[in-house]
Amino acid sequence: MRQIHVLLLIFIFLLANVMVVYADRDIPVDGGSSSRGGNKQIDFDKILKALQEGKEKKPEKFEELQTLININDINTAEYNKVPSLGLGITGNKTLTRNDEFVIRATVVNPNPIEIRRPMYLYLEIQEPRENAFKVINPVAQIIQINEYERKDGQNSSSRIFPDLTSFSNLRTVGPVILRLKASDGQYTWHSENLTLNVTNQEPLISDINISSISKPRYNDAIIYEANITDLDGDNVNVTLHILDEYGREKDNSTQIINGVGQVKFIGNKYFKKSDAGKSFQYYYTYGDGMATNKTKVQDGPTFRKRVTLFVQNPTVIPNDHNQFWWDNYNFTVDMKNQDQGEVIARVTLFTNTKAHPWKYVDSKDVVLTPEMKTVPFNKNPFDVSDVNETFAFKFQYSEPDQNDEVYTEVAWDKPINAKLVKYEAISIIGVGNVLILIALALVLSIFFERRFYR
Amino acid sequence: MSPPRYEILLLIAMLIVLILGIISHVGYWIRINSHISKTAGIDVGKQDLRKALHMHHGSNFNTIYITSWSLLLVAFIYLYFMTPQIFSDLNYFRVPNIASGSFGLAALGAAVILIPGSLAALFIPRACSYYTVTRRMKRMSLLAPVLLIISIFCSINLGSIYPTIDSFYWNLGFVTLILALVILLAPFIMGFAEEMRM
Repeated sequence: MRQIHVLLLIFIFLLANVMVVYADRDIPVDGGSSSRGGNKQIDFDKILKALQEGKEKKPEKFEELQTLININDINTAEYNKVPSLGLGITGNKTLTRNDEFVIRATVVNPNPIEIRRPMYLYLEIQEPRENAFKVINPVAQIIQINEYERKDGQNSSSRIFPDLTSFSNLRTVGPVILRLKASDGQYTWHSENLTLNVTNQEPLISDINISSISKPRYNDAIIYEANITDLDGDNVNVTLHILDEYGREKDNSTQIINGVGQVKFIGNKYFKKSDAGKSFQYYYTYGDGMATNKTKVQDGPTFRKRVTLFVQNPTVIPNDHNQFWWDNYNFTVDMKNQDQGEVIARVTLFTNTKAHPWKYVDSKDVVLTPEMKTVPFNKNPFDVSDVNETFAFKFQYSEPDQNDEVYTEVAWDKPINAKLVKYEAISIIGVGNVLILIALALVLSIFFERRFYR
Repeated sequence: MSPPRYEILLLIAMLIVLILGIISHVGYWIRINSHISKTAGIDVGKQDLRKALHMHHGSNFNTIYITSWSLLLVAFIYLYFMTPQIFSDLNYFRVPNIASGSFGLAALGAAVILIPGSLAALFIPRACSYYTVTRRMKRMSLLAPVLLIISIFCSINLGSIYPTIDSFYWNLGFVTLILALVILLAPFIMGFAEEMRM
């Protein structure tokens, strides 16, 4: 401002000087001889006097001069150091960690554009149980001097913070305080605090179960199952802890469920041969990152004792060397218990033909000792549709054998005899069939004769 | 295209004999009707003509006649549909639950007697009652069940020796079957022949 005044005065001075040198004699100037003599020394008093006289005596000229030199004064305001800062959130102020929201900062800058400075905005957060604020966006949001909108007589501008759209990473729930920090490079301001209440619903576990056969072997399919529900939709870490017979943790495994789902732990990988005959327990721990809970200790599984059978020499001897379909076949297998003592094993015989794939034939419980024992099945497993076909058979047993298998299978290359009828025409059955037919035909004839032809 | 099997040709021959019987019966009716119309000068209704022609041949004949027709159907099914020899995809052994039983043949025969046999028993003896059956013919008809039982035994024998094939038994079974058929159709054929002479 001061500079502008000085410039104006200089301008007037120069104008006066020119008037002194070139003007006509309307404006009296002291020391006119000296001016002619080339003395151009500035005399402000004379200028002022000349102007005052000119104003009185030649008001029109004075006004013309005034119009000519009229330059409005530029009244520049002082830099206002107190912008107005606001912080807002979309939605409810009580929210869960997974609720999405938008944080919007509003700055009202009272300064006109010519004296504004860029505004650097930072969002600060004070998490539950924390004492200090920390900055969320390390790279500031910037409002340039020309990025204000003139509305309701105010220069306002707003910014959103994509760095904070949910509290999913929050480790503790409770009141969260947000505030805006604004800086113009020289001064720093803070908005009022925006307090949000972040809540958490703890995950729930239900339907805890082990899916397996009733008395499984250590290598049978065992599935630990449980349903998880987290109403907030948090990721829930579910850890299965398997305890050995002494209650010590034998193994554990973790799965992550997002919100609602079922965990399924395949149990077989936790157990080995030496676990046969032992009882185990288990429990789950589950947490959503803030709250971690554990279930009661559950029983299971209890494995059957490991029994390893020795199985050899599965064979079949047809009762008739012609191998007719109606014959009995003596299927046998040699078995023994490899351990000391007795064991009861269930042995099941299946036969396989084109017409009857893997047909169940018979099953029996056998007591096995360390002595080799032949287990026989003298059965007639075939029918007329199996004629002229080869067959296979297998013995399936309830305990694993020396190869850790539960069955042994044999393919029998000699086909079943192609003969179809198992009796001769002139035989009791052959004649019996014909007699039945004759009798039936006669009875029917007598019936029809009496009923329709009398 | 391979020529039809010998057994199929014989089946066609048997069907021709059967068709001949049907033609004889139809021809007989037409000729009788026309004969009466010419001689009496009036049209006689079918019902009246049936009543007029109907004659009772005796319970024994009827019983034997119905039995024979039933056994004829059984003998035919046994001869052609017991083993896979003629119709490999359509035979008795395609029903293993029945065929594997000791009395599966009787079960098959019973099914034949009860279903198509009943239908034959309802209509064929009634048709026969419009013909004159002589004593000689009645005595001859006693041969039919005997021939059919021979045919049935032949078929059972063929089944019991299968997969061995014995043409003699098959031929014997067929000859006895067609002879029985001719005997059973004889009243129709003879009646038509008699009518033709008039």
